[in-house]
Amino acid sequence: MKDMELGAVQERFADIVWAHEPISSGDLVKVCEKELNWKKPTTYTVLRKLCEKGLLQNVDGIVTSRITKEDFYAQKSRQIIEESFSGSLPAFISAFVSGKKLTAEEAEEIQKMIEAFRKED
Amino acid sequence: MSAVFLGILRMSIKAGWLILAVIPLRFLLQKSPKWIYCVLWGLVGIRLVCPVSLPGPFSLIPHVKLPVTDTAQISLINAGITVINETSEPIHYSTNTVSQSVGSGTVQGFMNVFTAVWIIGVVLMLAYALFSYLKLKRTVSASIPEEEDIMVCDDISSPFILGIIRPLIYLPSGLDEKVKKSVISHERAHLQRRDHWWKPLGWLVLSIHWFNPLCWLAYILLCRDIEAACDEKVIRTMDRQHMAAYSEALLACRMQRRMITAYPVAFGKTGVKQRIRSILSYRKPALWIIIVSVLVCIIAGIGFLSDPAADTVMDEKLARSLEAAAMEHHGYTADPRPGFTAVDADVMKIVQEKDSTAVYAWIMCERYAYDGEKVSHQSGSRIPTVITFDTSSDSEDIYPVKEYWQPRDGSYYAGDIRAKFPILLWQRAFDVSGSEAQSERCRAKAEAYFAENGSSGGIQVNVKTAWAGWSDDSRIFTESLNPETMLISSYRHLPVYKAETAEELRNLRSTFEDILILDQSHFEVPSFDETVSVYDESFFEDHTLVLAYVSASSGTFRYAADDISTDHQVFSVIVRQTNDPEVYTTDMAGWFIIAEVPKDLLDGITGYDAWLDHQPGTATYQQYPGMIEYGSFSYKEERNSLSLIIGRDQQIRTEGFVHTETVDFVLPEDIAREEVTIEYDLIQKFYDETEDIWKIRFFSSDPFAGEQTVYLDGHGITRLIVYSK
Repeated sequence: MKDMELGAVQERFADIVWAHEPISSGDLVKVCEKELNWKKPTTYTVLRKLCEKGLLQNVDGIVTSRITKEDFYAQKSRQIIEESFSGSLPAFISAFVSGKKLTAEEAEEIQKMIEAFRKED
Repeated sequence: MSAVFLGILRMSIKAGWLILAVIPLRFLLQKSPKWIYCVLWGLVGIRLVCPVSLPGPFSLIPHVKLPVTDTAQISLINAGITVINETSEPIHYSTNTVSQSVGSGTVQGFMNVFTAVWIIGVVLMLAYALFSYLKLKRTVSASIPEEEDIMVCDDISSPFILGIIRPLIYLPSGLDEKVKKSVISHERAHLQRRDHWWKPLGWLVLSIHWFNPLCWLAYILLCRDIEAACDEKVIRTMDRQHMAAYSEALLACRMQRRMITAYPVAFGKTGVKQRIRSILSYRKPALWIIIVSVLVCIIAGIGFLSDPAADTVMDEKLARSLEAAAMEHHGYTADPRPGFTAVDADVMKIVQEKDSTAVYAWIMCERYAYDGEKVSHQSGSRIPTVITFDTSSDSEDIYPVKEYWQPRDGSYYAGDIRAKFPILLWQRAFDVSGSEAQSERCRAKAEAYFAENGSSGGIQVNVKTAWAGWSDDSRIFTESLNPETMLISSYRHLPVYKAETAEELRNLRSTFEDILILDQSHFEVPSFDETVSVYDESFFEDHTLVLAYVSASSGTFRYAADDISTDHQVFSVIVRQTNDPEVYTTDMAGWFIIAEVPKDLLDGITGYDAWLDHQPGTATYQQYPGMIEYGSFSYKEERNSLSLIIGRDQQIRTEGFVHTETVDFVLPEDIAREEVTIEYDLIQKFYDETEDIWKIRFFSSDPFAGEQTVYLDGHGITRLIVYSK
């Protein structure tokens, strides 16, 4: 799963699969046709690429994802932190926060997360 | 099809000069907005496509004749081409036979090969464009729309525009936001400038002119200029900060793999460094620069789109000189019968030099006669000709002729034309298809002439025939008024004499007293003395006697004057045999045809002539020792039939003749005699007026002796000898 780069198009496709899975390949084609104006071969090509990358799988004509959306973006974020913030989560959060204000709900959620983490320890 | 290719070749060469002109022009207009460059290329493009040119005051196309006078060049061109029958001859035709065997075979083959190669090139170019387009289309099939006119794709590395009717901007995914903005402005600017039309159009034009390296150069520069103009359009309204961002964006995009453009470019990147440099140093051009540039464009436009004047202009004086030169060359000497010679010139090219002008044209000259009711066509010729006029002085009415060039016939014809005519005219110089149009124009001229001047000839005077007996004494010829006409000629000219007074008549009589029989009659034909006895002093006050002597191999024949004309200031009597007996005597005979001509008819007459009119197609010969008789034959037919019978009991010789050069004033049979190697006692003489070929047959009354037939042309050059057993 490491270093899985998705281009804008593949990401969009993945979103469609995540939103509709499990979905038959035929129906997937129809959805892509409707939303993106794609022809059948195009859909299959992108599907094949993402299967090769290990994100999706096409078993007996049913398309499902092997990595959930949450997991994928979580991993993505971790990668960004690794690359841009030398792995420092606080640095990341501070950068993330420095432009915006934390809402009350967000602050409380973070608080809960920190406490849960502390508790595990 | 090869005519199309030739037209395109012509346009390509002309445009080539313009492309060479644009390059320094671009340098001169450095400070101008770059869209000016695109306009210049637009003009070049028009020139490459538009076969019509404006008649302009000046042209930027220099006038150049491609030199193909080097025989080495010609043989190089001729090599490798199957030699088809090259017996090409200029067209001489009469109303009876239409022989148009002009050997355009090799030239045509030559052109066909080139045309085929060109078409293949065009197809390849267009196929490449189509293939690239389809490939790109497939690549970007997996793309998602971002804005109304923008699509994002994972599989491309550089942005481009695809589509002509509904163009879309394709961006690679993962572009930095700032870069994205710059890129979008750039591509949108392309759309606004309609570059998605100009570039494919440029490729289309290049496809047609793929063989011209200058066109490739122009296309490459066009692409560069389009990008530069686009950049200028984008940054025209930007401040320095944005400009820097824009350049960075350029760099970022182009640094990746080779730029994939929607429309094929010959070589990869279009000068990224240069573009960045231009952007960073961009200054808005002052108004005056813009004005000057536009003016330069307009002037260039006129210059580009006009053809050099020298190519096609024919002024009135030149036209008259052309007609006069052709008339003189083909006029009276071609056919002594009364009538009108119409001359028409189908001009291919005019080359004007300092003191001379050369006209390349198909010169057709046709002979027409008018019998009071109908204008009839007699004969004619159509030859590609080059007439060079001396245009140094303006004083005379028409330009004097420096050179009147025609190709030699036979195997020299094609080579002569190729040596003399510029290569781009070869197609036209071998093209016989214009003859009908020219013939129509000639006929129109003839009809106009006859409408104004009435019937040719047909002058009515009283004519008598008197017996004179036969003689071949040389004085008959030397004392005549027209000795030079009785030499090599298509018609049998008769010696003519005149008597303006009774005394002259008496002198004439005494000249012929011991040569001819002037005091005897022959059957119903009265004697000379009896006939002229009526001509007294009072007769000669307002009449002149014009006499023609005609001899024949039989006293049974009868002759009369068929027609008299005063064309070309020559008083001509046309004598015709009035009977065609099946049985005739074989006694040598002679007559005087005596015309009583009113003196005023002879005003302005500078010469006298007479000839025996004969019908084509009749071949007659007399079995009388040594006797020569005129007849007609068709050289073409005989030559064609020869190829069938050679080897069996006839042999031919086509070279190694005694007479290989032009001679004047020698009778054809005398020339032929010198080629003959057998003993003979009979001679037959024939003439083919359509080809100007004589046929002299030497044979013997002994059927087992061989015979030889000599064919020679009107200049005295032997062409062919046929030996028979």
